[in-house]
Amino acid sequence: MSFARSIADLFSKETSGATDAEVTAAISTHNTSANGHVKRGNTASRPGSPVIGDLYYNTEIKDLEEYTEDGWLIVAKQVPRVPVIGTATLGGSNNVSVSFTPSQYGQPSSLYTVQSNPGSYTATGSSSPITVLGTNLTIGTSYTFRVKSSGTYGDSSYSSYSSSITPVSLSSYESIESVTVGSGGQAIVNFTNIPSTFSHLQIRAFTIGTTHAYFTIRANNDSSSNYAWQQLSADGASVTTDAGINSSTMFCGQGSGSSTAGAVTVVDLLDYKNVNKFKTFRTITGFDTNGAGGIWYRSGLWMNTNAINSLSVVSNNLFGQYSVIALYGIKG
Amino acid sequence: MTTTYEKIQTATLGSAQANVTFSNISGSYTDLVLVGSAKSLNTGTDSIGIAVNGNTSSIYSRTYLEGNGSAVTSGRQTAQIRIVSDYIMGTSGTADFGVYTWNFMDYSNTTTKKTVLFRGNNTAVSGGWNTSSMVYLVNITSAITSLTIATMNGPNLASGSTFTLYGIKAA
Repeated sequence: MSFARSIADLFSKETSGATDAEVTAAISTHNTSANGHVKRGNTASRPGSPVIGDLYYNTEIKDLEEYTEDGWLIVAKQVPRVPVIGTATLGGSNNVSVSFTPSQYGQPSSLYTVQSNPGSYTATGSSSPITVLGTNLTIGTSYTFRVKSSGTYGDSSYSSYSSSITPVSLSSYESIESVTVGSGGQAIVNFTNIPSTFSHLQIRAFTIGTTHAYFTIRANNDSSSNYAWQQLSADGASVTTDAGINSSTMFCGQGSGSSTAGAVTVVDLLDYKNVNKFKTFRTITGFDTNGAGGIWYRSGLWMNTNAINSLSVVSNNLFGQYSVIALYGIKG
Repeated sequence: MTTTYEKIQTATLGSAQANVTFSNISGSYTDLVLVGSAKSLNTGTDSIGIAVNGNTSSIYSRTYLEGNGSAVTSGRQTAQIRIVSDYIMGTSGTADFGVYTWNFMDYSNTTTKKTVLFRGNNTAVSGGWNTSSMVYLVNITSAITSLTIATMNGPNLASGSTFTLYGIKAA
């Protein structure tokens, strides 16, 4: 066997139909010099038109390189090959599931990293698909994703980007503003500049405090006698009903009078921006302090057709520390 | 504005089972809202009971307002062992399921005790109440991290019972 054919055998080349000269020429084109040695030189001198599988001894890094689908890689210490990006799909909570196909060549990979654009949010996993949590993504923003693999000798480059996907709003219920009462207490919580982009409003309150017995609500800072209210209440022993008309206050939430066990209230205010209707408030509120308590259903009316753009939540005295009063909007 | 009212966990029973547990509840919300539609396999009266953080000791007290079409009542009880729906439980052997909403306000704070607002309804129950509103005090200051839902008299929650836990986060 000729020297050239032995070299060809080394690289598993089919040479049965070729002359020794043809084999030598073919091999030397890519892998070897005329003397049979693997081509060598610095990075800048790599072969100009390599094909997959070509070998090259890089004198700068003093190691053998192979030309691969991902370019020149060190043979003995290759990073994993670049995965092929697949599709990005939205889940029920705006989580994005990114699929990809690991390369079937090269070094094994134990970890894959998906990265978003924009934001560069990353998520990792050992296999496809990998989920990027929706809590990291902005509703209405278009995102693309790419993936890379990690192995013993480092990371591959990132793949190309996926097609774009845009998280959408999954809820018509949005937080507008909230107040958590600090030390010293607070008498009034004002929600001003309420946007008109919703259909309905809801106030959710956890109120606490030794001097806090109840709270009322004023709309648009109106403190004149334009309110009416009715209630069905139970105190653990009896059920009663009560009402007030032409009142300057509209009873809504109850207080517990306790510093450790609070009262809870949910107030619904429907069609708050309608300019042809008086505004009706619907409230359920109550507390239990392991010895005292009550529960109230209340209807409240603000006898005004103006759109509501501010609400004042007013304690009879002081909302205690740790009270939480939050305003939400509901789109319809 | 921040979109909120997120579904955290849900359970729909494909067959009867003793309980449903929502565990590892994140503390990242302001309030929890649990909604359910459920029925017991018990042929007598029954109630749903919820154990907070798996606790079935006497840490629950309540004040309630209830009606059944002919009477209305209010009462208060202390040293209860669960948050109980008070006989609102659907009717075994029929398609009548009770419907429920529990509001767990400021559930993750570690300073104050936990107050829960409950509303339950059904129309075909025998021997119980049809409309119930309650305020429960759970005498713990630790954060609520799990809710275990079961029948009070057993044996099981019926197939088709559903529960969904939502989180509401204030801005």
